[in-house]
Amino acid sequence: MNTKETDHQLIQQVLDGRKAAFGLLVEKYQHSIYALVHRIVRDETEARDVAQSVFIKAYEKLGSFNHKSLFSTWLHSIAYNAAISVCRRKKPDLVRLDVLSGQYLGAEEDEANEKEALLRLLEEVLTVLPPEENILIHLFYTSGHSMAEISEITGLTVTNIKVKLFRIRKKLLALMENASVKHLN
Amino acid sequence: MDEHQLEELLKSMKPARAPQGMKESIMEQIGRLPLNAPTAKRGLLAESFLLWMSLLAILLFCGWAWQTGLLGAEMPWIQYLRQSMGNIFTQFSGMAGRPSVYGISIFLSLGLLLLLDRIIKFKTHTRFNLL
Repeated sequence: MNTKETDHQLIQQVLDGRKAAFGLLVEKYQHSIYALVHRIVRDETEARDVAQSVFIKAYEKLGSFNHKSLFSTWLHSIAYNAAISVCRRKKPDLVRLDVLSGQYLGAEEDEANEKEALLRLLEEVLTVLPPEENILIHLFYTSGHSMAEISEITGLTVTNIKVKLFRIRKKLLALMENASVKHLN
Repeated sequence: MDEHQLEELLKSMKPARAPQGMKESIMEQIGRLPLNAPTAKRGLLAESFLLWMSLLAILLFCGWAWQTGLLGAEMPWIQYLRQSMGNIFTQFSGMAGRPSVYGISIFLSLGLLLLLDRIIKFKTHTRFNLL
């Protein structure tokens, strides 16, 4: 039995009045939804609140889910819209580009773990990106969604996503280089 | 660093994990929701029925009051308005002139529709659009 069939059965059970069946869906997707929201919101408490509201909304709207797309895609699109709207409501955290210090790069000599230091620098650099770009990076690289799924979640065309990802990679490379040079100086 | 290395780095990023107890908290909130919450679309439909029914009732009452001169009897400007713009409610005189008969029949049919909506909601989970 594949994921789609399982989800479909669970949804049907929820619609038949078995609330507990929704618990299995929550269990299955809680980490990916939380990770998506956390990537943008960046605050643990707020990310938890938003992720919870995503599941409540999904439960309330389950009757309108038409099974044309995967349940996970539908759920992620709710999370995407919720996280984006939270970011728009909030005053943006302005991270100045010149603040990216590359401070973590100095650690590799001590820890002998260059990759770890680069990952931490990347995390820092990602905070500079706007939420929409962060989500694309997260969906494609971290959670491993396909282009077609990302297209359904975000409402962007596949071509547009490819172009955006290309530009984001260029931007990230420049920012990483910038931080590294600053550290060396 | 080149693009390939960056992509490898991006792929190796670990996603955040949901905090413990999040599922329980969600299920607790869901437990407080009504049983028909996932199919609440028809509930809203029923609410819109009530809304339209109330508006219709107000309209019928106004029409009746206007027709009988009850509305604005003490207000010369309303009398003037009635004369100058013509009595629009006379266009619906058949309905507005007999509020008791038409009002009761409308209320009864809407009540029956609401009852039908409730029965369908209770028996099935298919979305049934009464409107």
